[in-house]
Amino acid sequence: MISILTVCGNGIGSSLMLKMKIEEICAENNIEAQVESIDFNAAQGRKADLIVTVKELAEQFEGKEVAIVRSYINKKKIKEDILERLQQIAK
Amino acid sequence: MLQDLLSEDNVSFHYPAETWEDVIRHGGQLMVDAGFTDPTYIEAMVEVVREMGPYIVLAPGLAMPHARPEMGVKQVGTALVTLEKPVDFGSPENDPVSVALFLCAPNKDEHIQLLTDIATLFEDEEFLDAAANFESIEDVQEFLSEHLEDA
Repeated sequence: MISILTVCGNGIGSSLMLKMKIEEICAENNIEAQVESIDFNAAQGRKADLIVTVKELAEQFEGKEVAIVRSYINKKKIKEDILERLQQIAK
Repeated sequence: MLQDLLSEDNVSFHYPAETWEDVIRHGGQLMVDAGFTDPTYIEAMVEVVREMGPYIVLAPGLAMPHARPEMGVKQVGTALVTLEKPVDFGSPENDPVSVALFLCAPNKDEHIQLLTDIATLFEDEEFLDAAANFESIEDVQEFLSEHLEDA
């Protein structure tokens, strides 16, 4: 089981959409994952196997495992951006 | 869920906005008038873009302005604003914005279906063009009933 945090400014909109898409992607690829959406400030103190967010917010997570997605809602783009990384971490 | 939350009171067509802030304030006022939020929520939505950038522009031409639950949200709500002419939000990938679909939610759970509906619309290749031609709530509801799975 891998842990993933999806991050946006508020934790209830964009990041929640991203969480739903990542859960779908994980299910389709037999990756066991616990995905939680969280706001930017709360994410700072949290540990996870992977933090997923957009470019604008990613710089703030220096030193952590961060994956950048080009879109919060386009499943195809999200898959292209992070599936390989998810599979590596899940090994 | 989206179709249940939209009525003629919280939709606005061909709004002549000059700036992204005009767009957010206009849609925010619709949500206040509909009883979904306090006026503080309008300021909070503007602050989100000022502080964190235009990440609320989720797809080409499409924005989902929103802020945190504790910023004066009374219940799950939305508002739809289409623009007379597109406005830049500062998003390199998705500017300019022609349609804003607002969101407010009192917690992390009650609006999941609404979010799913908004994501479905924003991924729908026909939505942006269709929205440009919306003239009434009936036009909106007709599109939603044909394009949302839970309709």
